[in-house]
Amino acid sequence: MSTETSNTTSRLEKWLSAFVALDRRWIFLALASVVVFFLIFPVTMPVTVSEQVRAMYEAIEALPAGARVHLSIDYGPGSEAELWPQHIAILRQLFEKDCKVICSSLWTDGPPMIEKGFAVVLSDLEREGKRKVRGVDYVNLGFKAGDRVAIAKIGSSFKETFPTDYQGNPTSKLPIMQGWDTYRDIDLLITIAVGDPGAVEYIQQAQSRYNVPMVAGVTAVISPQLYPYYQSRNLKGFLGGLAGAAEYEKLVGRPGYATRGMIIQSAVHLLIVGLVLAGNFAQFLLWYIQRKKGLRL
Amino acid sequence: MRNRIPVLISAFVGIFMILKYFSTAATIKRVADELEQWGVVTLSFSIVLGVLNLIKINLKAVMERKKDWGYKLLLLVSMFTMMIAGGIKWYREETLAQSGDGSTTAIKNTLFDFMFDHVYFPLSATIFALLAFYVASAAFRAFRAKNIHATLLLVAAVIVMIGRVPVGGAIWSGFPWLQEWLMTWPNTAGQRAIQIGAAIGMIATGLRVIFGIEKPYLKG
Repeated sequence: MSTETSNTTSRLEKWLSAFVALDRRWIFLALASVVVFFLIFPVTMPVTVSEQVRAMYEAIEALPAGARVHLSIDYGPGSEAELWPQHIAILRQLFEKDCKVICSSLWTDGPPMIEKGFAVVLSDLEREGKRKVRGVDYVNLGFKAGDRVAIAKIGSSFKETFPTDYQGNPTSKLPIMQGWDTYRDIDLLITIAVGDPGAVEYIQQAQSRYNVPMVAGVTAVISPQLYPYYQSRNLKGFLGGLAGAAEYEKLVGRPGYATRGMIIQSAVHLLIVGLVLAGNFAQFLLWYIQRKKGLRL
Repeated sequence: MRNRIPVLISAFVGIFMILKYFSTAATIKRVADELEQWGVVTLSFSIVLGVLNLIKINLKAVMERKKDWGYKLLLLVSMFTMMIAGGIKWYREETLAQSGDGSTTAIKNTLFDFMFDHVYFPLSATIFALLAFYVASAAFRAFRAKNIHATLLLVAAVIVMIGRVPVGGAIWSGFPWLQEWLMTWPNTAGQRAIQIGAAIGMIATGLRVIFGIEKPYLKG
């Protein structure tokens, strides 16, 4: 009887040790299976809107028609999964509010993302019979090197910082750029950013210096950094990652890419939490068995 | 003398940048704006410097057939292809802009657009997406309740991970609230402490550079 118990314990110990040191390829396989499964069989999840997302939506909704908005697209294709849905939802809302959208980027791969955003939203609007004109209703000022210094310079003169737009047209001649030049003339500053330079740098160099109203859309890893600025009202609101984008899609009434992604993100989060808890349980059980063995010896 | 001039330049620039923040005097604003413009131009040159350095290092490795020279050759070919495609697009748009017909239409479907959309875009997104797999594997190994601090981290991570996604609210309605509380209060307190600490450090470093006590620009 005693030998049988000992064999069972030994088997359990072996199994637990194997699980604690689980080959990462099994984790990769489980993760891929979950993602592929929910891509094939999508399920719509109920989305609850958080306070900071609602505050951002209301800040944009409060803009009057013709308001000037500086939309800084500070990300590249690498962060497309999280930031593209935010980008599209915000841009569409701005155009629907008839705002003048002035886009620029502090990231080298930002300007093509700006062009892609315009192409997608404008073709949708054209199908609905609304037409926006480049240089009149919107502009892509392109990339500017210099991180913090560039932000400070943009704040004091858009036309000096960007003498031409992304297509090479002199900004001083564009109708959208007439009659204003600094952050004091901007009604809302929005940055959709993946890291540094991004939202924090814009708050430090532009928002706090020119007191320009500001909101931001960032990746989930950056969002914890923005809570102090939201609490101090430097930021009127912000979106964090794909979940923030899904909440925003709910508010603008156009569920899209982010809303569809919520089931995949939920499933992956559950899988990781499940693995972490199982790993801890196995570790604890292993420690308990070994301790008991040690006491018997 | 060789050391004094850079120190004087950095002190002059630093003082004007501080003064611009606190003064409304037109002269100070004009000087500081000009300095900012110089800063942007100088930093733009760092991109050129970076490209030249990349060419120098990789070309040398290819010529000498060093380890992984094939990848380095691929890097150089990709970089030049993208630069040429971007140059052609820029030239066409610049010509259109200078033609004086007032057109502000972007030229679409160029070689640059094709390569950005169909080569760079998917490759970049794929590399970033791979991170999810490594994060899952790292979380499994790292989040172990070995002591009280690690246990606190584990509990907070589990609550935030579950509470941040819609499934959290479906499991227990308290998860989203608990997640939001963790992010709004303990997280904000911690972030603020880090940010204030970093800001004080930056002020101290800035003053040391202005007064010439620290001269990082003279090294290397």
